[in-house]
Amino acid sequence: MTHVFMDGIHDLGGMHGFGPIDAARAGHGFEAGWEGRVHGMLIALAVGGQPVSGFRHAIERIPPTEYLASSYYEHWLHAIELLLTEAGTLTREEIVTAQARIASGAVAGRRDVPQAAQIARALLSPLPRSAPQAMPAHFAAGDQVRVRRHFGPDHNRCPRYVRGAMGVVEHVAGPSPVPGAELTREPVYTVAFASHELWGSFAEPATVRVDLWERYLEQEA
Amino acid sequence: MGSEHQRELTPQEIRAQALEALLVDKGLVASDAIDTVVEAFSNDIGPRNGARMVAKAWTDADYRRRLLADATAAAAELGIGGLEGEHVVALENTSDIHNVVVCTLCSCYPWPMLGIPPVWYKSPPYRSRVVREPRTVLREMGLQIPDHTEVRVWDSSAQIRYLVVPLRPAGTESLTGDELAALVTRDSMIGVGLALSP
Repeated sequence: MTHVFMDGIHDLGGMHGFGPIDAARAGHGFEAGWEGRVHGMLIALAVGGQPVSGFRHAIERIPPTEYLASSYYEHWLHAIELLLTEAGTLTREEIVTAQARIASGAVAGRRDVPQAAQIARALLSPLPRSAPQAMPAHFAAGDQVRVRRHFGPDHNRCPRYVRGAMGVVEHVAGPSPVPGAELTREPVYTVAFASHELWGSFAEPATVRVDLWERYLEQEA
Repeated sequence: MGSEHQRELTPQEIRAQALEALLVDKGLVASDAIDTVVEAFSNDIGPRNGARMVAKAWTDADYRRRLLADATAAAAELGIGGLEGEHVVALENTSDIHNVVVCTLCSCYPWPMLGIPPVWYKSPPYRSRVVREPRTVLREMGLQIPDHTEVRVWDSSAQIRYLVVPLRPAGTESLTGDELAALVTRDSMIGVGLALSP
């Protein structure tokens, strides 16, 4: 059973202490071959009908020290292993055994399924679009809203730095599956916040727009 | 032993190869599906796609209008689209407004238009700082925004993926579509740089 977990280390907006941006890490593709294999593995798992819809949440559940000390595609490895072991598809013992075999020189076999490769390629081309759905929306562009501080006890995509802040709805999109309650769809609002509202009067002049599900918002009095 | 000395695998390579071997053994993934994804992102899918869209918007006012109204459909006109590009919004830079995009919570990025995001985009320094001190971050990355220009930071926290349409540089009136596209950098479509001058 998944533990209640929502406000993890991944929610980095506005935190201090991470230092300069390493603009030299500017490549257009994968930095190493294994990264491409991991990226492909996630898509191939989806093509194969494996349960990877909890992927972002699985990354968010990485313990803070490991999250900050490991690389982006190591996060993906962690998340894939976590999802598949939780689903009972793999066991930790199998993973450890496979790693030992690879480390001692074993070479992985191949399993080619041309139809799966075709589906994977189709996912990376323009996709059919669903017809626009009628969607009751509680808020409209121009509305002043305030971000709630508390939500249900599960995965959410509401950054801490906007909680409690007042902003203006600029755009209404969706409906989109609600994180943590994916069978439910809600409108998503692009809400604009003044930087001084988020960071105080000494903030650099700017506006920050965040896309927020309806349940994260309440009408500003 | 043969004369060829194999480089030792890194821990990450071991972990990735082991996982792939396990998934193949259990029939959960197709090896060629993985190959296809790697090849697509190495060859076809990259910033050149977004650059084509921007260059067309610079020269074709109707396309520009369609791009700003529905970037997903405008991309599909050029055969561009797919995962993480199902709902794209184009953000037009003007002399009064400069847009910059981030995903503070993870690394959301318009893959079909820009390919794989750079490491700096996915890392804590950018994700934490650009929503709080965007002008400083842009300056560190070589872009000085005048005080009178509004800076808009877009945090891709839901399903929308953002593509910045940079300003067309001066002196480009006589350039072809391909020449214009060559000026549109990946960084200008994230918003941390400008299009190149000819």
